[in-house]
Amino acid sequence: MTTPDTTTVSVENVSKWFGQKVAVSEITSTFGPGVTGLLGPNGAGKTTLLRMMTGLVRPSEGRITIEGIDPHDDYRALNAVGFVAEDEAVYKHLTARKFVRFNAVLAGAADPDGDTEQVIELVDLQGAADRPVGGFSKGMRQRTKVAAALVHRPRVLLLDEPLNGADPVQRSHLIDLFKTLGARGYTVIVSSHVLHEVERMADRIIAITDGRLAASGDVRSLRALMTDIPQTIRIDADKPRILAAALIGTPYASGVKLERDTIHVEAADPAGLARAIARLAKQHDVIVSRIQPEDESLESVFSYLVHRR
Amino acid sequence: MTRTIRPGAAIFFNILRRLMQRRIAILLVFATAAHALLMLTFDLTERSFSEVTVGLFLAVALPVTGLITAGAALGDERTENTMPYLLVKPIPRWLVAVSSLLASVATVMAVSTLGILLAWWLGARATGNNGIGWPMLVAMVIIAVGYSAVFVPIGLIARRSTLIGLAYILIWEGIIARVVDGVAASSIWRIGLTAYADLGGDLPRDVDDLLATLTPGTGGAVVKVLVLTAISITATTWLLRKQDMA
Repeated sequence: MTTPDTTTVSVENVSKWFGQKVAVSEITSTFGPGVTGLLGPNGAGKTTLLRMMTGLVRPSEGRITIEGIDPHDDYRALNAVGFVAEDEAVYKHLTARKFVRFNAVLAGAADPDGDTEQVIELVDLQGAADRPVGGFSKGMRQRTKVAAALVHRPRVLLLDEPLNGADPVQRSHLIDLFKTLGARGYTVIVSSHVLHEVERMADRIIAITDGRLAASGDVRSLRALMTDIPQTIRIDADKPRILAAALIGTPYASGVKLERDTIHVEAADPAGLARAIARLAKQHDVIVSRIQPEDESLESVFSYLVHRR
Repeated sequence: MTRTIRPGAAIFFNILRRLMQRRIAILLVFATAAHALLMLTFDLTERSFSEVTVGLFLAVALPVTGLITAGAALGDERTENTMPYLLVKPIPRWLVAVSSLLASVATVMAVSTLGILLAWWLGARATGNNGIGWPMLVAMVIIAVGYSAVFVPIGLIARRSTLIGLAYILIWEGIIARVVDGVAASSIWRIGLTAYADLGGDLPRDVDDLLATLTPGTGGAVVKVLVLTAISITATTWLLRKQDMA
């Protein structure tokens, strides 16, 4: 949560449904300067929430304001907004420079030509600026879209999966850029379904699943929640039967399954189980070659967060 | 004012360029030049000039060009997911509506230029009447504006706006408007034809029949398309404000 003084984007009890399908359900949150990660599996409602912030989608219930103005009622709210959509859509017939300049003119940039050159340099596109965007790779298109969103120096930057298709170097560059903008006082809201990406750039995370707010807080507090998740652990050992039998007797394992040389343990307390494995392996003279969580998917993390609410 | 003109011009030229660069634009250039090419094949008189211009250009090629072009003006923005570049901007929605309508009209006029100029030149050379093309030009502008006004908003809400338009031209304008009294007034190319008949004098009898119950008159035609344009801009603006761009 941001303090009332620093709130730039306010989401008040917002729901959105398309016919019978509920895309977003009763989400309330505020956003301020810094980078906020909107984390959730595909189809969780992140895109709908971001599009409601831009005015492209009207909430079925509730209210969204940008700097106190509802973007659905007053287009001037969009003076403050830069938006990068999830899809790859661009005007393929335009060069990157013309594409960014087009966005600069529409956004009312004071110096469209100068501002265009600045953001093209910022996203490192100088070498390709005069090539048609239609011929760009996905990563280059993403950078062009980021440049177009930044060209009028918006105070609120809404980014829907902006790292999609970017190679590792480009990802790193864009993550650094978003962090820098957040540190400079921009409100950066970036959606992703990749946990570690969000962790790298966000000061705060809002987790969404099935259209609902599953968890919210800084990266550390969300991490702490996730360490409590029951996990399935795979253990490879030279004497799996002995270790499996020993584990059944502990309170840390809620289920044990043996498959050739591999033990699959349902861990009720992953941290306790890790300590128990080491202790039992030493006690029974078992050599453990691998311990690996089997169920690390973001969906399982979100599923857990939802069910514990 | 600059805050309106510059973005409006940018949207206009972007849509115009996109519409002109579509492959179908080349086909439409030939379709709207078909009547002029046909004029090359026989000895042209003022009567035959009117018959071919009305029967092939104003009543067929131009309406089809208009509906295809207008349906794509904002329809392509929607289907190609580029609408956020227009709508997540601090500009009023009516500006997007006006700019796209003007871009559609300009595109229809641009692709029709070859046919208009060639027909005019052939008609003037054969008949000695250098003003023979004026009624065709005025009617063309009226029809281009009329079809753009109707099909820009339809393209925004219907993915198959071309099919809807063809059904409208073939069934509504082609059949129903000829047999049901009063319906001819809703036929856009007939509205253009009233200006053509008014400026061009007497039409040949078979062409005159196309007017159905309408009476020639340029002023009335202009007023009708202006009203249609105002309704179109209002409807498109409303749709851009109310429709979810999910």
